[in-house]
Amino acid sequence: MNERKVDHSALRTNQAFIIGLSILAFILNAWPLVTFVAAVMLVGTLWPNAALFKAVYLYALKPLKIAQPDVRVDNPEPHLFAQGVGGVVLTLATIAFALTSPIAGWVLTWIVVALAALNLFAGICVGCMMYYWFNRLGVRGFTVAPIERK
Amino acid sequence: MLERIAITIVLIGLGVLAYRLLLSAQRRQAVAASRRDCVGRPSLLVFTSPTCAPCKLQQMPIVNRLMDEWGDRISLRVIDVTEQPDMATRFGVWSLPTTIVLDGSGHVEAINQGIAGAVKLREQFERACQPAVNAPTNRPANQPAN
Repeated sequence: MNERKVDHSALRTNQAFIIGLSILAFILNAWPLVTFVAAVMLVGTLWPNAALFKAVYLYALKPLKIAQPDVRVDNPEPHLFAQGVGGVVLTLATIAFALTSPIAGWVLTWIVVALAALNLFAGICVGCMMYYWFNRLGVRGFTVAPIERK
Repeated sequence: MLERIAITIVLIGLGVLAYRLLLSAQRRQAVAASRRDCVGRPSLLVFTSPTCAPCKLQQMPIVNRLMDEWGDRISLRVIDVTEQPDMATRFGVWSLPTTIVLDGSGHVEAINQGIAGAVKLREQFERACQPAVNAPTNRPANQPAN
């Protein structure tokens, strides 16, 4: 079987952008920026090649050697799922902002920031864990199991 | 805006503090647990589970490569937390993979949450192999100096 690989530097760049822009949105009290991040995350989940933050890594940070590639044997689906979950939560935050419930919106935004920071700084991907739990429970669509390796 | 910057700083500070408290609680627990696991040479404990993908894909290949390098100089224990939940509880493991490096006296040299890279583990192993630095006196392990 061909080994599946994921560049974890691209994932970390993505997380750094999500954290940075979400915090900036909070500081500037600019919830449309949260909507923008949600849109980027959802687009990146549905069409990975169109992921904006990943493109910044591929076409700017990597060629300029600001970030070094960190390619590891891994399944990309759990990471995409994690990103999708984050995108959905930020979409819910956007809905909350639009329905004039800014506190709920910012709480949801900070939850995404906290989970992205946990992944970026501690290497704990909660969305990936969820993906593998669903796989283990046989939930339809969560077809990729942990790769067995001796 | 200053108010929001202050809230951001407080929230980030609280997050870092909570994480550090969690780590230090785990370290205390691991220090207490490691006293029962002294094998007379440095040990590497790797906590994993059958469903932990990063453990199989990333952590174990790194550990196996290092074990080829280190041979008998270090004792490797791969602990499946589903088979030995008591060990996970004793060492306060709350995420997988977790790797713990113990020196020859059973002192906790390092605890790594998530994937521990080869360079990091090699440094921790080298530190664990320096008895003169870690134990300047010949007092028994974990016994306070008077």
